[in-house]
Amino acid sequence: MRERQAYQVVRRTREFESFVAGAAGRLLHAATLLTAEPAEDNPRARRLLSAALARTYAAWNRLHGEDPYTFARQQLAYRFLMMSWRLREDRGGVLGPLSPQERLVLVLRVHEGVAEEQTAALLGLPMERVRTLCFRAMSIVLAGRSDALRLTSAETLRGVARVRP
Amino acid sequence: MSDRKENEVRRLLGAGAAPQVPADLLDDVVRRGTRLLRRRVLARRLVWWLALAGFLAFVVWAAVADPFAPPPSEVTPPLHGW
Repeated sequence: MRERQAYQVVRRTREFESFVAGAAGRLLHAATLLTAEPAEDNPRARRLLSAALARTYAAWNRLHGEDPYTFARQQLAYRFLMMSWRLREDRGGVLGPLSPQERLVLVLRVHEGVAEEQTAALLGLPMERVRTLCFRAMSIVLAGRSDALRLTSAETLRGVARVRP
Repeated sequence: MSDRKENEVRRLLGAGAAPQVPADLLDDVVRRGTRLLRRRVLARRLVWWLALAGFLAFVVWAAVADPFAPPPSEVTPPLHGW
């Protein structure tokens, strides 16, 4: 009995290890987009990822054929939504100007390629709303790219103004 | 929105250096996951023990207090011929 349990733990850990090796990079990228942090300094995204993966590990034997990547991504989305009031500030990522909900929809739909129906089901929103959010998020991102230069110079000016006594 | 714009957004999201996965991620996650599992098992065991204790307490109380016995009759039978 005890031996079988130990064997199960070893097997689970080995399976999980290869899953993490394959999926962690992509999930961390998604998490970093969600928290709008720069890639080289993303403590919040790392915390989000390790919480989601810990839950995936705990649920490993109860997945019953469900894709662990889908499960982990779901956990990531839930946890991000739960703490989105704390993660909403713009820390310099591409999606900084977006609201947490817009970031989540954009990352799920465009970065992760999740279908509109699944995204709507995951977030408990009507499909129409998901479409609107995604449309708006894409517009903001594309607009931000075209006047990124102008924004940078405006910020530089503001910085200069602040430095002056 | 057109596919072209979607592709452009996808390119923007993928642009820049991919974040580096921390080296201790796996150990950390397995440790936390194990703790979660253990806590869940303990919680389940606690619920079972509580249910069992409640059932036993009920059985003992029922045996002592005999609450299901019919109450003594409050009506005396009529008395005739004495």
